[in-house]
Amino acid sequence: MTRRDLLVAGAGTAVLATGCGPVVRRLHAMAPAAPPDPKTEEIRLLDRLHYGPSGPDLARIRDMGTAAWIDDQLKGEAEDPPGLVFALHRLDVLAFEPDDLRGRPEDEVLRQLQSAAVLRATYSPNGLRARLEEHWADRFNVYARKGLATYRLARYRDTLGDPLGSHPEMIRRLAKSPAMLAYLDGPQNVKEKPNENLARELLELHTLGVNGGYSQRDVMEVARCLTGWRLENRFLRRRGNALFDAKRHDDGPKTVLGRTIPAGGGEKDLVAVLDILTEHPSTARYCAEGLVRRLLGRDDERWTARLVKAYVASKGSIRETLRPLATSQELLDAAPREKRPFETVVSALRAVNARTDAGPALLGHLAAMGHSPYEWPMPDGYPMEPEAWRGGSLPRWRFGLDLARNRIEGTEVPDDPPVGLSPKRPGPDGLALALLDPRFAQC
Amino acid sequence: MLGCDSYRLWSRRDALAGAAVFGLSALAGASFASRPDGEILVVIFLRGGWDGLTVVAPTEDPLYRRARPTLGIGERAGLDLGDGFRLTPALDALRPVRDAGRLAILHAVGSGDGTRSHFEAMTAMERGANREGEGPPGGWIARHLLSTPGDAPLRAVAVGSLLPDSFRGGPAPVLLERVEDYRLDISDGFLGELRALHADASPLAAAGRRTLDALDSVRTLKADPSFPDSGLGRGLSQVSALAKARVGLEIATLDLGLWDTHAGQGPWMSRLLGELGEALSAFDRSLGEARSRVTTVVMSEFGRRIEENAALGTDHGRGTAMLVMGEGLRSTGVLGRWPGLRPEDRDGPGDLRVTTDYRSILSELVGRRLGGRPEAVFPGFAASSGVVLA
Repeated sequence: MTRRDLLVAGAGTAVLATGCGPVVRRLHAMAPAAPPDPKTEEIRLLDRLHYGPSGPDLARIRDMGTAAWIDDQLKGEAEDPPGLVFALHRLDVLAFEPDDLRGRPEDEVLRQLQSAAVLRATYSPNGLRARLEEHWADRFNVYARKGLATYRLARYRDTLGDPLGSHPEMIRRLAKSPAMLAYLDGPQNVKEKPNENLARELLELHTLGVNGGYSQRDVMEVARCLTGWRLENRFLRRRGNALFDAKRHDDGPKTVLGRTIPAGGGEKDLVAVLDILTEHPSTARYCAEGLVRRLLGRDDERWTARLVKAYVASKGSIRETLRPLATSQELLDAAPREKRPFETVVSALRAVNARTDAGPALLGHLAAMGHSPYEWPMPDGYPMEPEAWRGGSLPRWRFGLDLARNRIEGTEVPDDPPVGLSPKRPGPDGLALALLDPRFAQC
Repeated sequence: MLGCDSYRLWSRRDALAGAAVFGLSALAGASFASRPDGEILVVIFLRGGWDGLTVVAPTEDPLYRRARPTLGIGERAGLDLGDGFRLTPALDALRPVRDAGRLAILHAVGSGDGTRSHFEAMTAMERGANREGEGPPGGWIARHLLSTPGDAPLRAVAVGSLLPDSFRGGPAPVLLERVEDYRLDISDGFLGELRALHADASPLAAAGRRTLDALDSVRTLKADPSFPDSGLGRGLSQVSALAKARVGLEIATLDLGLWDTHAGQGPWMSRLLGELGEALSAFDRSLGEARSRVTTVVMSEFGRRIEENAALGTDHGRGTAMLVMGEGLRSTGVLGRWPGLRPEDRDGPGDLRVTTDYRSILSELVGRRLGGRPEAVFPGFAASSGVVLA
């Protein structure tokens, strides 16, 4: 068994390649991969809602028809190909509790998490789901290199739950998650000496947004509500879980955003204050704004208003909030937006039908572009503004060249025609030029 | 740990000077002259905590003699700096630079971090904070790159293979070990086609053209062979080549490791100082006219214990020396406020007190040399002037 875990993700014929090269190549040759017309409606949909076209997903959308496919994407429950499932099983840190990962080198754990993120986005049919995962990873950012965060990240991701599910529920879970608690100093927030870090970011970055209309007093009151939550580290107990310590909790009455939480609530203060936050109209707006930016690539007041309506009507269901935009012609016809490096890498892998283990060689390219998952230090997450990413032409070009020339260890590019790209001539140089073309850097 | 209020003193919003973060950003669509003749700051981080008391030795102080019976610098050794201090003879290579008025020497510099932990103290300095756990979590150089416009592809270079923490949270620097790394392995024909693909007026195409121009400028660069063949020598020869090629370089970082001299400090540190001195002196020589716009800072996360230990080494301390090389500096005497070696003058029982915050030097250079915004780079820190610049 070679180091190269090869994956073939074909519609219905997925096989985990175990180094049986000729078998894999024959199987792949059976997968439908007719060269598509450039930028058909299907391809544009895949650009907008997935990470660009791939052979299998193009076949899928053609089979189902675009309307059914969009609905399928909003559900996000399509079965992952066995090849992907096996590859993720191999990344064993994903299955462990943080306490069980003690002793594993941090870099190894982080690399596995980053590989998983790339593999899911590249091979899962649930593209919109993967996109939303990226969105929430930025919105609810946790920095791997602070403290022991790396070890908590797999569980953190599971805790957040369905990226297309309930927004208020996601916020309830994140405020109690060990990863977020530790990142934003929750355990240091105690009755005698409140630490406002978590409270502030909850208001500014996770719920109402910086212009959402809260005051400094509100921050302090929210902090009081959150006092007492810490991480289990008592002798002989399983370490790392969040637990509520009544002794450290400020149990007096609080007033947040004009609403009162009576005294004596104890650990229920957390849910009470989060309800107040998530029910505030600014939260729906801030959520909608972010989703519009993410999908359209720009601010749009009209769409934000429409999504707010859908949010309110569905009590914060992310998929229902997105539905008006996801099903619109405007999304399809919208002007291209510039890709960030993660999207560049994933869309390139998909376009060239690559089989990758998303291992160190591939992750190295992503690191050179400055977009390694979980490595943004600030709570606001990797920037969305294109200006933040434009300086990086050289690492992006290097990646495209190495990919086209099959020079990334652990990644194999077959001879089959690429999907959604029209190289001007055959061979690696033609493919490289198509990948380096600024038109591929946007979609 | 993120200190609550001090973190709030800065955010990417502030860095973009109040313009809307998204869409209407002041940076959108603007083209900034890349600064071919702009000022350059070179930051050399000595990892491990270099012994400031050896570098800038108070040779006339009897307390020094008593504390350093073996490791002490001789009363007539090295360059006399005045005020009872001498520059270690191991840095004799820097004498010409000092004589030319291009070397400023500070002592008792440090951060507020009292843990004596390499990790904590280094992290504090890379983040531009007073202590680990305070201030914004990204790097200070990242904040500078975000708060002051500039779009040259080679604006920030980190010599080495690992991204320094000082860059985290901002645009990625060019990581290279040699200038030859800044190349694309392509034919001239391919290059021509690549350029043709980036011909239109879109910002992406413009960014591509800038990269192609930078590649062009660097193409024929070769590092100066007159540099010493040491790690720092090779690194500084790359920076010198880039500085003189006028490709818009603004910040370069380098590391020189292994200063953690717990045992056998004498020969170990002499060797390192020799490498440092020779490399810096070659850098100064090689820059020629470009000297007037290059300022080099040599810093370390902390100093070492006043008393030598039984293994003829020293343990972790606090205040230490800092060097700044360039023009227009306060290049006489030893800068800063000497706290003294008496027990009552010390930090804890054994260490030299910190009397100059390392951020004073960095913020002055960011503000007056790079034309940056010290308040955005070191939020909550009140900068002063005349710390190291004349």
